[in-house]
This record gives sequence, C-alpha cells and structure tokens, in this order.
Amino acid sequence: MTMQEQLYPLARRAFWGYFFVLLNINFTFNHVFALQFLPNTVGWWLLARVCREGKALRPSLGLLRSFCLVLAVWNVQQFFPTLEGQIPGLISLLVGLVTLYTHFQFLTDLAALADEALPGGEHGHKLRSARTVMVVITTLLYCYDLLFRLPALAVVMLVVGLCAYIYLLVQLWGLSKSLSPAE
Amino acid sequence: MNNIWAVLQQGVAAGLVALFLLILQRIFLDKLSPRWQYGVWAVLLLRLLVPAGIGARTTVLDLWPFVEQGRVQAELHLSSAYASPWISSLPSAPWPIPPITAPQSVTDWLFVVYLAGALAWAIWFGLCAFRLHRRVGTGVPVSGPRLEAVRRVAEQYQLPLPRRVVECKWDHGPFLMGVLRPTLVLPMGWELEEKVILHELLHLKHHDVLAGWVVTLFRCLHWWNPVLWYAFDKMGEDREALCDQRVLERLEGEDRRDYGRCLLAMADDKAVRIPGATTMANGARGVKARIEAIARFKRYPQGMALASGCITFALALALVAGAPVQALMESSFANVELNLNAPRSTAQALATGQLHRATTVAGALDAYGKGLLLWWDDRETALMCQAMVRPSEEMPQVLEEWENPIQYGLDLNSMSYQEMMDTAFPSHNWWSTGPQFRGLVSDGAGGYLCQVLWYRDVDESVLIAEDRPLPEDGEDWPVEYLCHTVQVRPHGRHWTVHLLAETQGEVEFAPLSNRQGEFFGPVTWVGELDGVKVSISPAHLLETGEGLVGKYELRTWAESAWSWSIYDSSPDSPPEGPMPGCNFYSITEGLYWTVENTGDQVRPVKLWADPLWNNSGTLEARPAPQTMSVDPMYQYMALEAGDLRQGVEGGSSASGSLGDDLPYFLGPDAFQVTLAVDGGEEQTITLTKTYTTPDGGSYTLPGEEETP
Repeated sequence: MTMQEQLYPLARRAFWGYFFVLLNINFTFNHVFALQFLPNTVGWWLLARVCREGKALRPSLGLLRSFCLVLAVWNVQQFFPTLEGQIPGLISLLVGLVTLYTHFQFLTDLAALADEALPGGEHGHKLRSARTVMVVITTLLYCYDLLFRLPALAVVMLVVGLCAYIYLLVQLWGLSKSLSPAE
Repeated sequence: MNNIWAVLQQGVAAGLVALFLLILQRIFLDKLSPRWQYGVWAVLLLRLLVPAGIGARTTVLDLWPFVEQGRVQAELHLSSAYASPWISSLPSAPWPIPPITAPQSVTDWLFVVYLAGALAWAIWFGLCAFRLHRRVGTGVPVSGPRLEAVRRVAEQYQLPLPRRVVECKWDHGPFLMGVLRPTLVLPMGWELEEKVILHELLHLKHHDVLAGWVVTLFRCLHWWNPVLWYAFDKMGEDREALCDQRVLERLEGEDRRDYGRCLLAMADDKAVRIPGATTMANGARGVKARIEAIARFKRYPQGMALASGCITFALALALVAGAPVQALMESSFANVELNLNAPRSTAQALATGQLHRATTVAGALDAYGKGLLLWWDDRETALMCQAMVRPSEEMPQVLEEWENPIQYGLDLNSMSYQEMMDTAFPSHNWWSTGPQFRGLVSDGAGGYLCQVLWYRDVDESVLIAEDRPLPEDGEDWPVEYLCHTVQVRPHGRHWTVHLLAETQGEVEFAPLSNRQGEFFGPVTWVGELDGVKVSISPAHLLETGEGLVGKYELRTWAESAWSWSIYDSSPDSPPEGPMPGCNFYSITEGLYWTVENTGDQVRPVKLWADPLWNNSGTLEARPAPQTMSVDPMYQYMALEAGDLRQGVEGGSSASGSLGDDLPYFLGPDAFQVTLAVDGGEEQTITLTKTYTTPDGGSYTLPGEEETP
C-alpha cells in the first residue's frame, strides 16, 4: 500500500472532522437545548480516529488522540447552552489551550504527511498557512481589552477567522481529492 | 503590600497560577518542548510582579474577592493600624512596604512576622552566597591544558567564557556562579568532561545564574507559601532540563548517550541548592526526570515556537492581565451577574462593593440611588451599593445607620425585623420608585452636582389626616419625592458620592412622564434688573438602566398602565441591581426658570436666556456636538405687582444607546440673560451662581462659604 493510499482515508476523514468542528448550525429551544446539525463532538471523534490510524505514519499524531477524545466529550455541552455560563473560566481556559495546541499539531502533522505523499509540497504549505492564521486569530481573541475597546477589530478578526476556516476546509478537501485513487 | 491581607492576596494569586502551570505542564509534558516547559514559568514571574487584582481586572483564577471578604469580616472587629475594613487590600506593589507605625492588632502582628520572615530568609540566602563566594575565592585558578579544554568547548560551540575558572577541593561537581563576574567552579582533580563544561557554558550564555537570583528574591518574598517554593524548585529543574535539551541539540549520536551517562553518574549526588549558582547535579529525583526528558528528545517541528508562544501569550492574558471589570459590566455584569452574586452577609456586601467601585458618574449615581431604593427590601445589596460609592471615611457611619436605622425615628430594638417591615415600614410606604437624576452640572473642580430623586405615593392616611380629598377615578394620586442633592467626586479612577442636602416634598403629577417637576436644580443662577428677579436652573432629567425601577409601585402609573398594554403587555423591569460602570440611558431636556416682579406696578418683561458651556476655559454657546441641546430661551410676559411666574423649558428627550460622552448629559455651566423691562432697552444682567435645593433652599459645597 503506497503512502498516498494510506493517507487518502485519513485526509478525507480529517476534512469531515474539521467540517463538523468548524461549522456550526443549530436550533436553540428556549435557551435550554440546542439541536446541533453539525455537532463538534462528531468532528473531534473523527479527528481522534485520524490520530489513531495515522499513528503508524506519524507517531506524534498518536499523542493527540487523547486530546481529541477529551474535546469530543467536552463538546457535548454544546447541546446545553445554559451549561456554558456555569463552567468555571479556568476549565474553559484549559480546554481552549488544549484545542489551540491540538489544531496546531494536527495540521502540522497532516501537512508533513501531505509533503511526504505528494510531490511539490504545495498542499502542505497551504495547510500550514491556514494553521498559522487559525492559531494566531484564536490567541488574539484572548486580548479582551482590544476586543472591548475596538469592536470593529473583533469583527475583522472574526471575518479573518471565518475566511481561514473556509480556506482550511478547501485545502483539506483539495488534499483528499489529490490523494484520491481516481486522481 | 502594606498589610497581611495584601501579602495573602499576592501569595494566593501567584500560588494558583503556579498550580495551574504545574497541571498544564503535566498535560503537555510529552507534547511541548522543554523550552516551553521552562518558558511558561514567565507567566508566574509576571504574576509575581503584577499586583493581584491590579486595576480591578478579573482573571480566571481570581480568589481575591474571597480574601477581601475575609478581610472585611476580620477587620470589622479589629482596630488595625495597617489594614481597614473599608479600604480594599489589593496590593499596590508586589513587594512589602514596611509600616511606620506600631502594630495594634493580630493582623498587624502577622504582617510584622511576615516582614521578619522575609528579612530572615534574605539574610540567610545572602550569607550562603557570601560563604560560597569566600570559599570559591580560595580556589585554585585553572590554567594550562585544563583551561585550554574549557576554551576549546567555548570556541567550538560559540559560547561565552566565564571570567574565572577555579578548582576547589571541597567541591563535588562543576557549577557556575556569579552574575557580574561569572566563575566556573570545578572539583579539584576532576576529569574534565566536555559535555558537562558545555552544559555550564550554556547556563552562562542564557544568564541562568541571574534567573536563579530572581527566583531567590521571590522565595524570600513568599517564604510562607509552599506551593510557590515547590514551583520554584520545579522551575529550577525545568531550567536544567532545557539546558540538557540545548546540549543535546549540539551533540550527535553516541555523544548524546554519553551525556546521559554523565547525568546518571550524578544521580547519587545530593541536590545542591545555593542561590545564584547553577549545577548539573540536582538530586536523584531531578536527574531521573531529566533522563526521561532526554529519552523523549526530539527536534520539534518548525512552527512549534509559534504554538508555544501563542499558548504562553494566551496564558499571560488570561492569568495575569485578565479582563477589565468595567467591560464585563457593560456586557452582562450590570443586570445579571450582580443579581446572581447578590451579597448574603455584611462582610460580603462591603467587600463586593469595595471591589466594584463606580467607574462612571452615571454608575456612581445609579448605585447611590439604588442603595436607598433597596434599603429595606434587599438590605445586603443596599449596603453593597453604598460601599460602591461612599468615601471610605463615611463608611463607618453608613454601616452604623444600616445596622441600626434608629435615625428613622423608630425604636427598632423593641421589634423584630419582620415586625418592623410589617408595621413601621410597609413596603408601599418606603421610597418605592426611582432613582431619577436631575440637573447634572459640573462643579467646576472636576466633580459634578446632581439631584437624586425617589418617589412614592402620599399615604392615604396622610391625606385623611390633612383633610385632603382622596383623588377620584382618573385623577393622579399625589406623589411625594425625596431628593438628595449630591456631589460626585473623582477618587482615582473611581467616583464617590457625597450627600450635600436632603429635601422632601410633593410633586403635583406623576414624575414619570417627560415632565420635570417645577423646582430648582442643584445650581441656580440668579439676577435682578429694576426690581425684576430672574432665576434659572438646569433641570434636565437623566435615567440609568432601562428607566425607573418600581414605576408600577405608584398608583397613578399602575392604574394608567393598561393604555400601554398593546405595545407593552408586561410591566417594565429595569435592572434593580447596581450598575457601577453604566452610562445614562435617557435624557429629557429642561430649564427651570422663575421671574418675579418685586415692584408695586404691572411690568412688561422680555427675557432672553442663552445657555453657555465652559469649553477649555472659554464660555461659549453650545460647543456642539459634545453637549446636549438646550435651546436659548425667550419669554415675554406682563407681571402684576408681586407676581411670580415659573416654568420649565425644553422637554425633548432621547433614550437608548446614548454613548458614554459625559458632556452630552451635563447642564450649562453658565447663562447669559438679557432683560428688557417696561419696554426699555435690553440689558445683560449679572448672574450669581447659587447652590439650591428643590424647594429653593440653599446648601454649601464643602470648603465654601454659604451662598447668600
């Protein structure tokens, strides 16, 4: 089995994983229950599967599996919006940092695998760019003062973040297409 | 840190950050590099340097509200010289400030013990370093091939050379000491191991001795805090692990394994902990952790520095910088959070109030107004409101009034609280509606003058006792007001409210429509021409929240509310909790004026009044757009002998998101009044500024003579 064949199902699953993690469509019922059409939990579970299966190709992916599973469980609270206000800030910070690191390392590893599997390294480079923008934007969202004083900046950051998400999804889709046996 | 509570605040804040970092390090142990593992301690150093709760900013690890509560609880029963139940104990500096007066309470003595401990530890570490310095001074300078070998390592890896290299008989392992004159100390006759020399020279390059001294300083300041001492030990181990990583990055293949063996050989050595010295031998436990780190050694992917930096940056923002409380207030704190955290004890009320001092003029007035409104219904919240806005020197009196409201003419000692509420102060008999703010003007000294108004229905029994007819259906029920004329003063970055005069009276209509009562504002300009007296007061009305609290407590309003039901089927429920960082919600313009003919014949009078605002020292007409629009006033009237005319000009209003530009809500700073009496020439008259209560009485500003 070639590297390309091994990587194809991982890349496809990573795309769907991020599709569920980054996009959010829900109906909220009386602020108590939110019916999620693209639950993050499913996304993290898919990424955890990628980590388990990709461990053989890249050992550092294996280290992320526990994080992905924890985040999958954590994101169940998405269904219960009232819980959000009850969670101590400390736990939210911890989860936020784990999420930040997981995104970074997962995309770094995926980009490295893409470099190995596909000549030219174009996909890897684009994945790393999307990764960097995502991580920086997420970090800047901790600058509360900036956000409170310059709401316009917050809007710009959210727009840039959204563009980065879409760009990332396009790249992941492109990667899985490039790895597809039909290509 | 000038009292034991400040020491506790700083120590607890730093201890919590240290615990959090230890947990985080454990989570990322095999995922983030030793550089991050050591570098993340910068967040703790920042926390140690930045006073806890600085700028009343809130972080995710705040325990300072609880410490504040403990302080209030304890200090209310003590007469401490260094701490007070009325002043927040949040530290102003991260180091202790020795007191200049003798201790007078247990907490004062505890602070003295803390200071003595810090001094003792500083002396101890100083003596240790001095003793080491003396012993190293007797060492033999290394020369010849051994010195050449050290130089070779330095040159090969482009590292700085220490000023001195000495050998000592008593030494068991190589170490580096000295910040200004770094000295590499080797055991006498020790077989020179290049990798160990490399390790020590890397310490020199990265100023690790200086880092050790900084940590020693904090050990002295927080000698009582075991969590921090543990964290400092861990920081030392991480520094060694990082140095190992740097060594391994410079070595290849078998050399790396050799380096591991060197470390193993030191596993039996006792940990050497001397301030201002680095050593490879940090005890069996430390060496074991480092061997494990070496086993995990890898070159981290490109970009890892970015992830590490982002995580550390986010940590520093969340754990040290925090978020401005005011910003939180503007979003949710104002209406929701404070109700959730409504105080349940005296100490909690006082501490919460002190921690959320009013940061805006509107916020100060709002808290002051709600403090009185809630005085009987929610006693703790009422006290908290007072603590938010009253100066600390007035707080003992406020607490006394709160605990023992005999001032209201009742012997409360003889009745239970419930009896008091049921009989003496039935809820409808208290000031149930308000607060409303009237005539806000600058006092010319950085503060503001304003009237705070509360309303209630005149009690039926009073009407009967006074032989007054009870209102028929459709008639307004008489409403009485309580007015506090107050001065809002800046106090650092907060605002305090000072009561200047209290007035009580009756208004002729429900004061909730956009009509101002026909009474004087806090400042009135008075002038006279040929027996015609003129007075003008800013009388604009301001509200916070989403309008008045308790509108429906007034019969007139409640009975007429049905007419609004098409659009507003439920009574308005503006926030009852204080909003110490809020802005004004609505403004209704108004100028109250009187013209009086003191002569004995009919006199035609023409009156022009132009409002003026102080714009950088110059009085000018409406320096738009900062000020509210008060139009020039024109009146023409024929006054009978002894006639007094009065009225309120203006009436247009605005509400909603009016912004936080205070000048927009301020009344004029002066007026230019022109009079033409008896058809004569128009003359500009000189006006005198007077401080007035609503009923026309006067009050004085603190430090000023009584106005005529």
